[in-house]
Amino acid sequence: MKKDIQKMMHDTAKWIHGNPLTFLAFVSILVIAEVFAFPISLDVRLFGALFLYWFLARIGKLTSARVFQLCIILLTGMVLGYLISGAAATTERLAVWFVLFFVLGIFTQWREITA
Amino acid sequence: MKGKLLPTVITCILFIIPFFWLKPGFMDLGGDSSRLYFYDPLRYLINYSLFVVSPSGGGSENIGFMTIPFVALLAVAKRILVSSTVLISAFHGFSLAASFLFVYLSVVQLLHTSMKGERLKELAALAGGLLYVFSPISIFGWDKVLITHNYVFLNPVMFYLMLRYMVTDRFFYLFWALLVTFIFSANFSFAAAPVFFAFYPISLVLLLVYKRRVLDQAVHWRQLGVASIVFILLQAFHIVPQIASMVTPGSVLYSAVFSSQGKFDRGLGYFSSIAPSIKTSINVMLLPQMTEVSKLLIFMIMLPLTVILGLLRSGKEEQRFKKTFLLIGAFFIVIFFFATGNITDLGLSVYKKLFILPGFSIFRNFYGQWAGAYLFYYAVIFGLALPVVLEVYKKAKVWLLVFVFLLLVNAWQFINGSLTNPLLWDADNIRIAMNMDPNFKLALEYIRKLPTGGKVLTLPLTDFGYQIVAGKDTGAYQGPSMISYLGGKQDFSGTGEFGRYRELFLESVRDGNIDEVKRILGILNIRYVFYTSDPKVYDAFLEFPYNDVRKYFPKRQKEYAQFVDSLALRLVASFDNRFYIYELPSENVTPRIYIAKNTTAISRVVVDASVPLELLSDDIGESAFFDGSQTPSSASAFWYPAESQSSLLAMVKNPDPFRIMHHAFVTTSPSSFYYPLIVLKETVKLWKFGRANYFSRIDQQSFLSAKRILELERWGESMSVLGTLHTLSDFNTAHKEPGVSRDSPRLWDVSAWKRLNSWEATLARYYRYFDDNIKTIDAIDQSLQWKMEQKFLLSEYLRQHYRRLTLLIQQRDPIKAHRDYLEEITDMIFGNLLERTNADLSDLTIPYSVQLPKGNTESYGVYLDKNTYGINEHFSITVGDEKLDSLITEEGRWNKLGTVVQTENDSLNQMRLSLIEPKNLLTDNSRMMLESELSSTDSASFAIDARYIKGAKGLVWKIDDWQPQSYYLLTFAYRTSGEPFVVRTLESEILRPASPQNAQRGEQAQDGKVDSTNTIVEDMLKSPTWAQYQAVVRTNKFVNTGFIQISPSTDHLSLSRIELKNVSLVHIPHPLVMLLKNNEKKIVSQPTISFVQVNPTLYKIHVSGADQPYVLALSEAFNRRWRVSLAGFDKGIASTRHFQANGYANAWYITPEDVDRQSEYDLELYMSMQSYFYIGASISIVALIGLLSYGMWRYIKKWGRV
Repeated sequence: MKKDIQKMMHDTAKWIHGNPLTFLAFVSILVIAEVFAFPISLDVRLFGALFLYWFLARIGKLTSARVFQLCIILLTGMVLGYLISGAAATTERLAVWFVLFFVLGIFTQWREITA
Repeated sequence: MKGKLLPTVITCILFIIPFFWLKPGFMDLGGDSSRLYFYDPLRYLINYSLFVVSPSGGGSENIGFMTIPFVALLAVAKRILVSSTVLISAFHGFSLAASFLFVYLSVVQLLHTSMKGERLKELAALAGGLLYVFSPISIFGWDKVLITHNYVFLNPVMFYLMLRYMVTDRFFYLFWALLVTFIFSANFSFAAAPVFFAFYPISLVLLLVYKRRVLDQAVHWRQLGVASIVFILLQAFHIVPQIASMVTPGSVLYSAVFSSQGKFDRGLGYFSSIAPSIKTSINVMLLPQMTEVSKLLIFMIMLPLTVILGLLRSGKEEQRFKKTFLLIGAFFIVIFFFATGNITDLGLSVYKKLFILPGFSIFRNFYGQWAGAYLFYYAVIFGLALPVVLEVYKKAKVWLLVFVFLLLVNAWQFINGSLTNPLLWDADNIRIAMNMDPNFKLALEYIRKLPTGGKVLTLPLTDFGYQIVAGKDTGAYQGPSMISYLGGKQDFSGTGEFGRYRELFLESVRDGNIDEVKRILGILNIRYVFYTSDPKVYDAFLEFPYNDVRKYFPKRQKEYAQFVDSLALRLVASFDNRFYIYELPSENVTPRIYIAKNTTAISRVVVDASVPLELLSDDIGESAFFDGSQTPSSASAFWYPAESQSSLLAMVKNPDPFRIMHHAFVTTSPSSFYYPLIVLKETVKLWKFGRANYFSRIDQQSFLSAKRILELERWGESMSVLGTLHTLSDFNTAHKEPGVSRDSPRLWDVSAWKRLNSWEATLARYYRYFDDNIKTIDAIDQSLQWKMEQKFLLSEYLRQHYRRLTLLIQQRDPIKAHRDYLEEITDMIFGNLLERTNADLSDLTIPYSVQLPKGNTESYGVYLDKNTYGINEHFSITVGDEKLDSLITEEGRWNKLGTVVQTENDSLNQMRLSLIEPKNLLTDNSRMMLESELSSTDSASFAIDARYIKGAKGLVWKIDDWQPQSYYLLTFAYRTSGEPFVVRTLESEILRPASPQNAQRGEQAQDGKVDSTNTIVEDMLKSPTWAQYQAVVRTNKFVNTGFIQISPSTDHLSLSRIELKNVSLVHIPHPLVMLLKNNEKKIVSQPTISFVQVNPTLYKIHVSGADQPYVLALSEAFNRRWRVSLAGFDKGIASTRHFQANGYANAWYITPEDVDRQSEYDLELYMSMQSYFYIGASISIVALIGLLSYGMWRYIKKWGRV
């Protein structure tokens, strides 16, 4: 069982490392789906997803640049939302996702520099 | 210097721009704290900045010392520039130029470690500076600015100076930073606390981390420590008095910082109300919050995009620059959080928790207070990101130019001055910039020369203490009164300054009671009235700032002038037939300082301010009253107001302030996977309270009941209806939360959890909350009255919930399908609960209690205030066993009913007032509308068939003699079938035929016209069996007609029926009962005094003929820091006999022992808070001299070395 988990994680890390853009696209779709599928935002989902991203990015050895690329995608979504419906709930939730990943990006880049 | 040409040119242009905002002679002087220091800085200094007594109104404590250096500098500048217009323009120009320049310099400095070319860095710094000045949030708020608006340029200036100090370790920068803080000390005072604490602590930490972790240099802690001390010493002249005020219990500053009320009511409450309105996306794009924003401003998305791209592509940058960039980024995020607040529930929750910290309530208006810091750091991080982006993306320069261009286009209205000279709110095309009317200047000069000792009433009066002064040509000043700030006379320009006399004064004006108006002016030491008859200052303002005051005063200047004439005052001066100065007769005005020959003591504060005024003798200029717990023993008369203990008045349906019911929120549906966790959390919380903490338990169960109703409203359509419960005992036992008690289903019983997702389960839980609450109340060892009041509160919840559920069942699909069953069980539950919480309100006897001095047996006269009950109401008062029911004498507004003697067993606390023959106001004659199909067996019972009622008018009674600010009890028995009915209590003011008062107020004869009819109480009536309805209602001011209406609850006609019996409406008496004891041993002393005002904080008084004790009064706002001392001595006298008099003033009871038995001597009346300023100012002056000397010495030393 332990070996299976380790193998699964290794494969996941390898896949993420080899397909960063696909991984980012997947994350973006999940974030957008979360915004539109659930009428109410819950911290459990926000921080859970953020932690999951951080963990997967870490094992996949993704750099802070990927986080900032994700931020650009989320920023684009936020802008589209703003243009369509102003500062509505969906726009706000995308903005919150953007800010959270921005924080993660700063933190990740600081670690890269100090490391 | 070639590379510096562009920033220099831009700086010069920015300095010049404001010179095009104002026409010659025009000034922008208004605002909440006024900008009169630009007009006459010297007088502003003398009348406002230098003394701790406020120049306006009652003379309360006011700390304006922090403005001294800045205003003194303006006084010098005004001498040179002469014109106020030029001075204002120059200062605005300086603000813009300094803002741009120091943001530019800060970015240049921070980019120092970047590997990018100088040209790119230059462009980036320029862009950052322009963003700071012209961003969509910077261009607003330049009109009517507060003195603390200087943060706009101070933040960048101070940041740059400290940054340069950190980088170079040169004392030069520290010197200038300290000097700047002294000159602009208003921005480093308590007045600017929010903006100060939003910027400086974070910036200081950032700079320290920058020095240690980025520059890798040691911090000179000692030098910084000394600088901090010098900073505090330089600010001592305003910090010392502020701290002294803050630690004085009772002061405004103390309450704001320390009291729970200050923390939560003014801080957290306000924060929580505005937080949901602050949008994260708006802040990301640096757009203004809470305003309509054009979608064209979407170009601001380039800001966050640039920052992200800069972080993304900074990989090749030098390590130190990357650290700088990330450091700024991290601190930027922190400030972003504080400026936005609403980022995740956790973030919001953490933010709210911070309000527990003393003083954090200053951030209640968080988005505005953090905006300055947020803008600065956004400009800086934008500047840091730009060189990276400009180098990597070749077309970025074009985009940058486009961005700057769009920024300037958006800011065009700011550049051309339109935004800085807006129209005054609610005014008819009147702008804020005005040129001073020379006739007003003459009037002001005249007022300056009026004798000290009398205050001024400024008319037209405003709601908020503003004065409106029309400009000579166009525009108007709207701000604190010029009479006080420039004229040097304390004045009343707003209704708030009347304190406890406010309501009485306004009502007296409204009712045309001129004698009362003059009496109030007299007691407040108002000797003069300054009236401006110009329509431009009153008629041209449609609402603000006269919204409220227009309900009482005449609506237009034409009638206002007639009102002023009706005061019959002596006209002492007029200017241009627009400015008038009147004088009240001196014998009708309480002097500034006087000996009170007649004194009246009232044991507690009575809400109606006319009562103590009435109790004074006619000679208002020589009398004083004391109320509250502290009164001198030498008063001529002692009055003891009795307090009504009626539980009826605690069960008012519409109390003032309104009753706050639990505002529940639910986010998890009963069908949700997480719902069991919610149930467990609720159960654990209830279990924690236990049985002992019954009050919290009742409160919590009431809160949970609101949640259950909300769950049904939100998810009731998808919740199942099992159809299994039919009796009350079923609701008591069924669907208990799993695992919480012995007879509950097991915790792992999934089917039991699933069944919670049903109407029956929710209603069963609901029923059990109230059942438990009612049983708990019955079991507690408390008075019957307390139990009645608690049950009443529960019944209010029940009625509200019953109505909501009834509507829900009637109107929502697919709930309607189960309507009959659901109606049956809800009727059963609520019928039972309402019956058990219904109190017997038939006893109209009002118990009174009165606190009398213990230990003696005295006789007291018993008086009823005629103004507080109807002329046809008759009472008997029972004191112990003795009954007083006949009128002995009428003494003005008082009816004396007899004399009682206090006995040792305090029988006077057992006073009971009974209304003799209470009158039912709902008679056949008062019934207004009646359908022909109404069947009636007698006048007391009715049955209405709703099919025949057209519209929703129903059955209505009209009560003509509806008393304002009174209480009524409505009772009847009822039984319904079919649709529910509604009972409403309504009231209105029906304008009477023209009266002198109405004519005076500009109203035409409008007999019968209804101003507006308002529903004050509304309840649903639904009961298949006979039930009793009872309601105590409170009437508002300005009403004279009441209505009781019973009608169907909807317009849909169907077979419905209501039967009524014993319908009764009775006025609940609560007259003011007072006991009087005359002081046989009162001391009558007639010393004579004369006084001189040295300054607003110091009076010198000469007293002669003082052989016995006397009361010395000062007509300034009561403050413990007013001291009386013998001239030449520091020590205060009679400090333990310092009382509040006349509802606001100061009085001392001085005995011959206090003055070494002299009969003629000099006293000093002094506001001791002023001493703190003198102490602080001495410290600041020494520190300033020390700083300048040290700076000079270092400069000379440096030159010597060179």
